[in-house]
Amino acid sequence: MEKASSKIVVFCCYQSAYEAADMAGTMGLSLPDNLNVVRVPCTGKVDTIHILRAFELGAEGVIVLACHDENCKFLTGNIRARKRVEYLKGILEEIGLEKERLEIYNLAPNMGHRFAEVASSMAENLKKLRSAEV
Amino acid sequence: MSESAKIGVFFCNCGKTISERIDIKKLKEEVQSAGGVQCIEEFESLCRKPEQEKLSSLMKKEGVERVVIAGCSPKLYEELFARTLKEAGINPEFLVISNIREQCSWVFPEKDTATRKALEDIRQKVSRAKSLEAFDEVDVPAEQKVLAIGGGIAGLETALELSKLGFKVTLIEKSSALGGRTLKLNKSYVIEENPKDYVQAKVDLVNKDDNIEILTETELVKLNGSPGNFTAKIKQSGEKKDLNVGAIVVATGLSTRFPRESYGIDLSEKVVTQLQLEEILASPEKSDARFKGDNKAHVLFVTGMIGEDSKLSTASALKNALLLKGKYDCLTYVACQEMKVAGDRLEEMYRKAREEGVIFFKYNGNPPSFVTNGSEIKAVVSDYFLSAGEKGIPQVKIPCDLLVLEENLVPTEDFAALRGTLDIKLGPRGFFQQDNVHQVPVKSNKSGIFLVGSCRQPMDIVEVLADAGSAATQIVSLLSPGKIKVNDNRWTIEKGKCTLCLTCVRFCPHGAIGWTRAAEASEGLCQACGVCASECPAIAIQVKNYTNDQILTELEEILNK
Amino acid sequence: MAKDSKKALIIGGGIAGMSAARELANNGVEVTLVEREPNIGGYGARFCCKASEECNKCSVCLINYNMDEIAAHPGITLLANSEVKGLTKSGDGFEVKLSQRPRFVDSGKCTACGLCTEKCPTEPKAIKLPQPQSVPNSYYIDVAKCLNFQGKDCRVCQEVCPVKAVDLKEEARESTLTVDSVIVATGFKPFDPSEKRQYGYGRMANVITALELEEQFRFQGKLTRPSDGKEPKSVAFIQCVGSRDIRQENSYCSRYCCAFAMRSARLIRDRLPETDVSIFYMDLQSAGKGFNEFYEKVRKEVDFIHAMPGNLDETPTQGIIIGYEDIAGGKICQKGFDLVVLSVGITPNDNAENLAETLGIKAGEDGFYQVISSNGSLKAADGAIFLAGACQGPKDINSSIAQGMRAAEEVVSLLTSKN
Repeated sequence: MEKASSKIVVFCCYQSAYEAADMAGTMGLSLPDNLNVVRVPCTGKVDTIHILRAFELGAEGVIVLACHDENCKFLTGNIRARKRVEYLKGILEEIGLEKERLEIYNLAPNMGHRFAEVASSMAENLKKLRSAEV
Repeated sequence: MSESAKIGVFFCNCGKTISERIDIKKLKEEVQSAGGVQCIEEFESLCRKPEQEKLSSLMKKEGVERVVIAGCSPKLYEELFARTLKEAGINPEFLVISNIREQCSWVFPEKDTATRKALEDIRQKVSRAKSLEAFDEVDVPAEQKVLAIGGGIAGLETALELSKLGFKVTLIEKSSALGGRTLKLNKSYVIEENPKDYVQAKVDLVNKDDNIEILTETELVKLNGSPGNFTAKIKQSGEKKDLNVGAIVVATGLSTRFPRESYGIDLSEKVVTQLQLEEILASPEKSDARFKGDNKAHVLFVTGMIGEDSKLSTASALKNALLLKGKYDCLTYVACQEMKVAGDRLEEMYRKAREEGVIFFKYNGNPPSFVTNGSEIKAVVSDYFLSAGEKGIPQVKIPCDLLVLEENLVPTEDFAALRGTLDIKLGPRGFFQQDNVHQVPVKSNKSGIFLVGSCRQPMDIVEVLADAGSAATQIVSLLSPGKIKVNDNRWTIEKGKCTLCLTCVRFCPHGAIGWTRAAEASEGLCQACGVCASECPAIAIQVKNYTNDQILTELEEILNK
Repeated sequence: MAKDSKKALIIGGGIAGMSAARELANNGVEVTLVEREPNIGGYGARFCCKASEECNKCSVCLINYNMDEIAAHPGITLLANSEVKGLTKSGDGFEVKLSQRPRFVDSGKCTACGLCTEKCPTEPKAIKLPQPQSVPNSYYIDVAKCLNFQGKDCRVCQEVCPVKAVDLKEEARESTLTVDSVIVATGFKPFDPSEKRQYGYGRMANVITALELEEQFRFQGKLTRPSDGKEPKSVAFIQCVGSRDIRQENSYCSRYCCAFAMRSARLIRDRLPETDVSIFYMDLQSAGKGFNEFYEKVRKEVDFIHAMPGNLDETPTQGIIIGYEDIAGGKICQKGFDLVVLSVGITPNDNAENLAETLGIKAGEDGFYQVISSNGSLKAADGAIFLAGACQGPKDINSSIAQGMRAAEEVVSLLTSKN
């Protein structure tokens, strides 16, 4: 069993990114094997405390996947999520974590490739951070 | 929270294809040995009826209370499984799906990895299943009655359609007569009938219709409630009264504004807006007096100078240029930035206009200027396609007997007040309706309030009719069951924590939150996005089944704590 | 709506047909949705999301949402691979003859597990999902590629299918259906640009159509030159290919293409920030809300060239050379591009004429179906037949949705009044 410290938590908006993740699977695109998806009805429901707690519990990276601006089914959930992520990136730096460990991207349900892309890029970045530490 | 609830984990091996890529036997053992799960079973293809029946009877027999189904994506069969649970007497809120197909078995080619990932996900979902809370759907009665605001073509058509579908409509209009702007138009390019007659016929039908109550000189002053049960306070000549309605149709149309600053010329006998010309042409006497005679009048239409992007002004210019050419043999010119022909019949009218001798200038960024000398007006116009290389673009002076200028299409004057009363959000250029595809075509950010016609975006009559139909069908499907299903107590607040900072009220995208001693949400308007809960500085608000604790439980499971 | 159930047939599972189907079913009408292709969604199901950092309002995601809704809706029966072969009046309604081409996979059984494709010995695969995110989520056999249909003794898919959904002997099925009302939503066909030889489509690998660009982004997630698979450093869009063109007999504006080019341009600039994008156009047509504000944004990222290209040439070093008149400069110019996208127009569907005859409805001079009166109703014949979407003339997604809903409303209203 892999250690928690190498895990990436992905908060997936059920309106868009969750379906994009399915599409990535359907197309057989390769994904990092340390990705764990948390389904949320809207990224508006991803609180600062959820993200901070994930890091506290040892997550190596957190990705929030929201709908594009002005495409949120709940109108502003994605905008609020972005504000929180931006705020939290500052906090991460203050507590000595690299801000690259937390990212937010916008996805549409038909963007399977983009899902694979952002997931892999986070995994790559974390790998780099890991080797820099060593 | 219930640690003692009986949990069932049901695997679907998808015709043994998942089990080929994932070691389901191992998963079963792991889930079993982890404890806390009372019923584990594997099925062949759970999306098929016989297997569901088997599942249903197993759940009943074992008294399963919470269900984790590990199989394909919830996007495919979640609703189906929710129905299966319901049939087995289990609250569908107690269903969690672990997506071990699209997000595991199809992603990881190595069986070990896929199995490990599937196990992680199932564990996460089992912990979620344990933390779920029940809430019920309750039926609230739905008024079979609709309030339509605005007596123009959009309001009239929606009211008529709703009446045909068996609904009562109260149609309120702030002015003293029905008909709206269409009454001023002389001729439409999308319908054959004279618009005045067309709209008058609708007014007559509405007047005769027993299902439609007409209240002129009436305004909406207050609105409370939720879909199915709005209370609308209306004011007619100083008198207020309450109406109970199930839905609201906003059909207040648009208004026009002449942007003098963009043209640098005043309106006068010789300088009119497109709407003013429509009014002249709508009256045969006025137009004969103006255009009949031996001296052919020079008429120049100008569009595209004022940042409008609607095809309506191009349509009006083409239509009226053709009419003046045909009926009075005027010398007609059209100066435009762009020929906006993305609408019914427009290209055809453009071609016809050219054939009949209407002269077109496409000025492409070099808009006309206007020179006045006493009562004489000259327009200096250029055409991009007459460009002569280094010599620049030649300019043509046109003496105008009549200059017809495009005006801005703007929200009606009382928009701000009405917006406040309805508590709905505005979109580009201050029209009703945000620019969000989820609201296509006639939804607002508040459920039960529909936006029809040019109040949401300038449009032609045929487009207005499509809007009216769209709103009518949605209202009927919303209200006609006679009741609306509303979640009971899904949104919760710890009143002691609420400091009435009203952050939630400001951030709620759906206008669902109000307050008395603490913030309170209308379950009928709440869409459970959770924005309020995430923004609440006191962490007083929770949306059931996406509470902080529940999400944290999942995170803890993922991260092995 | 009366509770004794009424039935409606919708022909065409594109966005207009799906919108109509959903509204009817939500109003208690039993809907049969007939689709000619193996999956619904129409061309829109192959389009890509055109969001850059922000949503650019192409509405393509709405097609996904509609497909999901149709798939899950208990009131809608979906008949893919099917066509209407006959329609006769029967009382106030119709008797419809349907013909279903064999799919060779029972979509009622198929669980889309993918085993058949994995084991299929041909390359490219003969048994497959019509596309990722297909509704129905069921495989089908492409007869042209299947060994079994070329006389070989291959039955691998049939043998491996765990739910016995594959039937290589499946035959076409004829059926009849009685319905109270019909909505025709058969959509369009993109203009075939090989008819316009000067644009080189079919001759030059790096000249693609709008649909090909959409598919690249949707199914490959990126944009490349067909000739060498490299990312293009410069892309040109040519507007009005087969629209507003009297010589092609398509003398109308196709309405979606200006917005398509501008949105796609933003998408390209977002994904490939180093790539230059130019748009050759005649008149820019507005679409959607706040178009001018949108245009101002696009103008900062994209070169708008107000000219229609005369001809295209392919060179080994400079890519595709577009010759056009620089009108302001008064001279003929040439500019090279790595990739050229033709914004092809909307034309009537292939079998539009035949179907019109079958249904007893009329097509106009341009080949699109016509409503019978100009009072705003979508009625296409004396009986309860209505039109929706691009079969009636070019439309964008949003107008098709509104029209689909309007058609549904007219049907419900008609069926209600009969009670």
